[in-house]
Amino acid sequence: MLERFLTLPAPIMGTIAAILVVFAVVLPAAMFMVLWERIFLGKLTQRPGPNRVGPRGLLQTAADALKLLSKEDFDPKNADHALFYWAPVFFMLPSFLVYAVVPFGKFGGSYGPALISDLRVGLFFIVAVFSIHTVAIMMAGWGSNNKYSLLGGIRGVAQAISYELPLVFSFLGVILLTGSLSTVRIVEAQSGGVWNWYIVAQPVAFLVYLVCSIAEVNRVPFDIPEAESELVSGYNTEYSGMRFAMFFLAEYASLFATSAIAVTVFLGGWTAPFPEPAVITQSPLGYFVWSAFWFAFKVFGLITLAIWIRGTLPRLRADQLMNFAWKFLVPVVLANVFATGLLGFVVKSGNGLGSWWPVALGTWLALGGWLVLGWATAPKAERRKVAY
Amino acid sequence: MNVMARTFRGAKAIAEGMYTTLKHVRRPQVTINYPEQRPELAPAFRGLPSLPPDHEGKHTCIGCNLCARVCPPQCITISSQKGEDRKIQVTDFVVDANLCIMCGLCEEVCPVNNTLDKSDHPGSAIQLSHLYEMSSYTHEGLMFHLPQLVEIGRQFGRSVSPDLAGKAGTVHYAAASDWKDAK
Repeated sequence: MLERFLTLPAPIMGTIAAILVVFAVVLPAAMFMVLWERIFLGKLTQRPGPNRVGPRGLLQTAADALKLLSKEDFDPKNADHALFYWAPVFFMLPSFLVYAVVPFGKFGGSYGPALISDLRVGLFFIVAVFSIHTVAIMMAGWGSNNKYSLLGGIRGVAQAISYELPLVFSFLGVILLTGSLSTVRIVEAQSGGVWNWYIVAQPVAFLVYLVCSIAEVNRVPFDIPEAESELVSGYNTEYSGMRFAMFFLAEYASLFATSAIAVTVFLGGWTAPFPEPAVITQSPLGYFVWSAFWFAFKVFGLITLAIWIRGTLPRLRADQLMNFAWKFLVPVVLANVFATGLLGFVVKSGNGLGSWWPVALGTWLALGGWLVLGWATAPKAERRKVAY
Repeated sequence: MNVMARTFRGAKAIAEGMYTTLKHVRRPQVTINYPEQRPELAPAFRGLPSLPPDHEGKHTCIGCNLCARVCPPQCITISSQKGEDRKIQVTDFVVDANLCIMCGLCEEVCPVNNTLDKSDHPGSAIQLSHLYEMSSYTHEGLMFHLPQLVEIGRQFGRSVSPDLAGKAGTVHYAAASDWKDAK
């Protein structure tokens, strides 16, 4: 077995190794994130968070997983069994498939970036794969044969379809500037420091992506498919034990995935926020550790931001959710694509890095002007009179 | 309001909210890690009624039955008999903690005004103590009789000792088993 593995061509061996690394990293990372979410939410609400199992509560998620594993694999009598059984699998699938094209580091010197497969249509692959979530939510909602699950499933599908559109369009500006769908090319175009990151050139797209990615993974404030207080827990009401654990873990794995995508597309991927010295970039393993650290650091920051948002904002109403997506995000992101095309190619200033400064200038001016105009035209909030 | 003003309002509101939640990260926790940490009880905390002992170590109840009559859930039962000196002797005093609502009416109505053990402040014969841990697997375990009530008053009574007032909850946990054994 080992001999046959070792005689495989180098690219295939590298791919298999990368797949193993991704699984070995993503699963514990998702478990760690569940714990970090609970601890940070606790801090935001002046609570200690989990602190009983293991040193400082570090084993809490492991204990939870063990408990869920040991529970009965229960399915409702009148459920559509095939759909019910396969929904968690399909829910988990895209969260892991996405990592195939997310570069999580780079080996120094003449070695390439560390990722499973550098597809030339990487971003397209991400978008396509991530839509599988929607199918899984509908499968779970329909297969459970429960009105709350079905409502949650329908809400989830409506939301996913609405927010997928601005999400995809938010990539378009970056794709225009890079001239490629390859994630590696996109990251390489952002190397050299924080001023080269696409968040500088595409702040509007980044904000739209942030909103849409939170909606895509059904987190607060866009958690109406689950909405504990209204729908019990939405499409996963009927799930328990390991199947529920798969839903739960996949939610965090997909949050991890959307954060990794945001880092890749907008926050410079594996590159450091300052020009990297040649000593580091020339060392094969040293640069891998260095770049993987920066990638993980940025992903962790974005996840913490998502938790912070969860600790702050209340849930949107279903109609507000739809209005926000279709009447605000879609026009804004279309305008962003238009402006990027206009400023990046009509008012073009040479090739190479920094050629997109008109885009950055125009977008930031538009964003600032929008807010200033809003500040100027907003009616003064009336001080509420309180009768004592 | 136009869409720009609404965007500004929304962005401002979200920024304010995010700042508010972030401020709370640095604030002290309100949660108490219960078995290890104890709440600081207010001096007038209303726990289980008890019969704090006087300087001679005896309860000061005169068996007048006023507390039993005023008790809304009727959780107090007093057994008494006339002694040889024709004074009423309390033979048993039962507080049923299954029923007690810790309202403190018994303490208010009590006509006794004695100086109690280790205290120069006079107090009622029945007083709400600072005891709040009395879980039991049986209903019988929540029937507190005279010796137990005196012991609870000695340990957890709030006017018993001024330096214990408001801190009865910090009494060492092991001491709490004593009143259960008191016969």
